[in-house]
Amino acid sequence: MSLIGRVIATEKVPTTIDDFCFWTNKDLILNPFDVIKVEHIKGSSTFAVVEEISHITDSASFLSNFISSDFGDVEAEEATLRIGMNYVKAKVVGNTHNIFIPVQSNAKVFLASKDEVVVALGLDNIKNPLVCGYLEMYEGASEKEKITLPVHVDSKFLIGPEGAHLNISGISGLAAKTSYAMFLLKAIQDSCIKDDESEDVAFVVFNVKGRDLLALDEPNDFDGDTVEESKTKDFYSMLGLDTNPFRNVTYLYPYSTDKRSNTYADKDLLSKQKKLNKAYEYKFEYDTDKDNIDLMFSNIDDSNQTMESIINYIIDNQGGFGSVHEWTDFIEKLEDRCEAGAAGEKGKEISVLSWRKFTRMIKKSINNNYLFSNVDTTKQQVRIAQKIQDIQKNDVFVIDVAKLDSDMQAFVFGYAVRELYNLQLGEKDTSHGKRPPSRIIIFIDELNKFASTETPKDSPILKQILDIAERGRSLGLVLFGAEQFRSAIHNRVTGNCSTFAYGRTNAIELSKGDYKYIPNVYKNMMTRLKQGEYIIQNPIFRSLLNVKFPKPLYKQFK
Amino acid sequence: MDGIIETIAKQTNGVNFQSHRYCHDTTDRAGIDYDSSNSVEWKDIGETEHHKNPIDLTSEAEKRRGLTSVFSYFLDGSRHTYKIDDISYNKNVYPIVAGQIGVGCCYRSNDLTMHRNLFKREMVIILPDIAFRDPWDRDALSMDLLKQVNANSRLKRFNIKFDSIRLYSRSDDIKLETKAVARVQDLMIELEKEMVAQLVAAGKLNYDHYLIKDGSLEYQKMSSKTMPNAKNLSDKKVANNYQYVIGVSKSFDPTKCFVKGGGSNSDVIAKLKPLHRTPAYIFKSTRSGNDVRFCVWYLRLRDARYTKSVFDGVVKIEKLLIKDSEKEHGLPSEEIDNLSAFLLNERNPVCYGSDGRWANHIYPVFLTESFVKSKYLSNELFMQLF
Repeated sequence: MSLIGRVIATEKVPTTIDDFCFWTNKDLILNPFDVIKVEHIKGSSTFAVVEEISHITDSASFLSNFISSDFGDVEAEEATLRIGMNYVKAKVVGNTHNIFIPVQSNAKVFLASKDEVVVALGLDNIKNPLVCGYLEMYEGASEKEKITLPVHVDSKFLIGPEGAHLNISGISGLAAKTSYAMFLLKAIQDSCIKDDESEDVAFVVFNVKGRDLLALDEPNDFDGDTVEESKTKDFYSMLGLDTNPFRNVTYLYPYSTDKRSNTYADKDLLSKQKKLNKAYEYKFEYDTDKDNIDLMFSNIDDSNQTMESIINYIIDNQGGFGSVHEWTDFIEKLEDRCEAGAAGEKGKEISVLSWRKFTRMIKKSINNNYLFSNVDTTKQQVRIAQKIQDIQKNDVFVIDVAKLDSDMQAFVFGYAVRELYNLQLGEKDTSHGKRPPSRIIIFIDELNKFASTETPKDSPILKQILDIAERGRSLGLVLFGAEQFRSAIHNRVTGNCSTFAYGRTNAIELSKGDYKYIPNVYKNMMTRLKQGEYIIQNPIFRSLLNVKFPKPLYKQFK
Repeated sequence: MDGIIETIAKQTNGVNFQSHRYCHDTTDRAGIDYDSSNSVEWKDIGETEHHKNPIDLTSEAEKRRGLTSVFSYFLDGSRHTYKIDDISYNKNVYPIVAGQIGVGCCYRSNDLTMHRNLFKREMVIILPDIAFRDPWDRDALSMDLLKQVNANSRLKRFNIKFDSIRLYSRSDDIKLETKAVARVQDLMIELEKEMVAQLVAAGKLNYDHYLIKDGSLEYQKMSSKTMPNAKNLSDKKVANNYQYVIGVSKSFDPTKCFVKGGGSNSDVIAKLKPLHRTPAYIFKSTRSGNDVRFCVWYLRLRDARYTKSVFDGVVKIEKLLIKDSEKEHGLPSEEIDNLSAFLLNERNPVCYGSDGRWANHIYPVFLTESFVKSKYLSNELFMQLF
C-alpha cells in the first residue's frame, strides 16, 4: 500500500506504547478511525488508528502571519507558500509480532490493506459473527485504495449470554436510531433463519412514532428510485444479509372503535394485515390485567406508598373488589370509596383523599377508554399477555403505542415487558406446551420516558427495566433501547449495556460525565456524524469503530 | 580502541589535553563575518540611468504581483564549528577545530512550494599545520590520517565519515582558533561556488530562473595552495556562472558605505522609504581578485517604523558584472528595477518569531537555511564523536 508519511519522535512529543505522531503531506485526506500501518522492528508492523490530524506551519505566532500580510493588508499576497505539513496522532491497536515498544523515529507509515485493517481492528477472529454495519476507510484516497468491509460483533456479546443489551443514542432525525436498531434486528433474524444451530431469538418492537414500524414485512419501494434500491441491496448482499424485509411479523394495535382510532395505521393497512392474520387489536380485561394497574402510576412520585397500598388492597380483593369483573364496575367501586366517610373497615389506613387521587388517575386512563373492555376473539382481538405466550423463534411482534398518551404508552410498555419477563422466568404457561425462545429482544425508542435519571425511584416500570438490565442477560431478555441523550438514562441501565451505538449528538450532551472516557477526537466526530453513521463500542473491539449501515429494506412511511 | 583525538595525537606525535569542548555558534561567534566587515565605496554609477535619488518601485512590484517570480533557486551555506581539544607540538599548544558544513539549494515550483534541489554536507577536522612537521608531504599525510580517523569504530557505528582534514597556518597575528574557523568558512564558500557551477552546468539558471544566494558574493580569492581547484571570481569561466545569480545580504555595516570622495553614505540608506531602492553603484572588490566588479544597491523591503533599527528591513543586493560593457557602464536600469521589484514581492511571508533577522530575511532563503540546518548532526552527538 502507499507510503504516506514518517513517524516523528521528538523530545517533547515522544512515541509511546499507546500512541505516536507522524507527518503527512498536507493535501492527503485521512479521517479519524482510518487504520494505518507502520514498519517496526524485527520485520513487524504496528497498526494504529488515526485520532487527531493537525496542520502546522513554521509561523511562530499569529503575529507572524499578520506581518506577512504587509502588517494587516488583506489583499497582500505571499510569493512562497508558507511551509506547512499535517501531523497525525494515531493510537496503537496492535502489532503483527505483539511487539509493543514504541515505533521508531522516521519509521515509514503506510495505508493498510483490507486484510490488514481486519487484523488491526481485531475483526479477524470473531466468534459467532453478527454483522453490525460496515466501515469505509481512506475516503480521501484513490478509488483502488478505498476500503469497504463488513464489521461483525460476537453475537454472544450483543444478545447474551456473555454480554447483553444495546443502547443507541443520537439526535432525533439525524441519527436514524430506529433504522439502525431495525438493521441489527434484521441481521439477527437473518442469521437465526440461516443457521438452525444459532440461538432461538424472537423480537418485540414498540412502535412509538407514527407508522414507522407498522410495515416491517413489506418491502421498501425507495420511492421508485431503482438506482438507490439496487445500491442498498448490494450493500445488504455485501454484508451477507438477504434483501427481504422482516419475516414472521405480527402487529398488535391498540383497539380502536369507529369513532376513535388509537393508531396511526390507516384502515387499508390494518384490514390488509388483519386479513392475512398478521394484525390483532389488543385490549385489557379487568380479571386478568388488573394486577398491572400499578404501571399506570409509573410517573407518580409515591414516596408514602399510598398508591401502592391501594393497588395491593384492590389486587388482594379486599373491600369488595373481589366481586368486580368489569372496568366499569371497578370505577364505580372506586367512586364509592371516594364518598366522604366511606373509607371504613380495613381501608381505614387509606384516607379518602388518597382514594380520590387514585380514582382521578385511574379514571383519566380508563374511563371511556375502549382499550379497557372485554376481548372479542372473533374479531381478532387479543390480550397482549396472551399473544406473548405464543411467541416463537424468529417471531417479530410489533406493539403499536404511537397514538396513545404517554401514561398509556408507559402502561402498555410496562405491561408487555412484565409479561415477557415472567415468560422468560418460566412463570407463565406457554400455549400448546411450546418452549419460549431462548432470547427475546425488546426494542423501545425513547427509553428516556421510562428509565430516565428523573424517573421516580419506585416507578414500577423503572424497576422492571432495571430487572431486565441486570438479570435479562441470563434470563434471555435483551433490551435494545434508544434515546436522544444517553446521559438522561438511568446509570444502572446504561451500566449494564454491553454495546453502545453513538449517533450524531450535540456538544452539550458530550460535555456530560457519561462521555468522560471517550477521546476528544471521537467526541468531536459525534457532532459531525452523518445519517446512517454510528460509533460503536463493544467489548470485543480494540477501539471505537465508525460504522455505517444501509437504508432499511422495509416499507418507509413519509 | 582510541578515540579520534587520540588517533590524531598518536599519528602526529602530539599530546592532547582533553580540554573543554564547545560549539562556536552557541558560545561565541569566532570567525570572520565577511558580510559586515568590508567597506563599500560607492564610486561609479552602476546602472544605465543616472539616478540621483532613490527609486520608488511600488508600482513595479504591484505590476508583478501574481506573476511567476524570476527567482526560482535559493542557495544557502552554513557551518557549525566546534573547538574539540588542544594539542601540543614542540611545547606549543594549538586548538583543534572540527566543523560540519551544509550547503543546500532549494527550488520553488510554480505552485509556490519549495523543493529540495541540491544538498551537500561535509565534515572536516582542522589541525595546525605543524601537526605535520614536513611541509612538503602535508596533503598525503592528511589523507592518511583521515583514513585512520574514519576507521574509528564509533564513527562506523553511526555511519559517519569525515570528508577532509585541513590545516591552518600559524603565521600572522590572528588568534589561532579564529584562523581554524576561517578555514571551515573557506571550505563552505568553495562548496557554495561548486554548487552554483553545478546548477549552471545542469542548465537550471536562465533569464526566467535566477538564483538568490544568501549573503555577499564578494568571495575571498583563494590561493591554489590553501584551496586547490578554487573557483575564483577573477577567473572568467567562473564569473560566467554568475550571470543569473544575485547575492542578497541581510547584514551589512551601513557606516562603511562611502560616497565618492569619502564620508559615510549611511544616511541615504536610513532615509530609504519602503519599497524604494538606492541608485546602483559599481563596487570594485580588492578581495575577490583582479578586476572583479559588482553592481551594488540597497532595497528597503519594510517600513522602518516596525523594525528595531532604521537599517532593518533593508537588504544589500550584489550582482557580479561579467561583460566588459557592464563593467564600464553598469547594468541596465530596467534589469535592476525588474529584479528589485520581484525581490520586493518576496517580502511576504516573514519568519517573524522564528528568526530575529526577520525584517531582512527572504522567506525562501529562510526555508533553505532551515533545510540545511535540519541536516546537521546535533551538536551533542558531533562533539561526542571525538
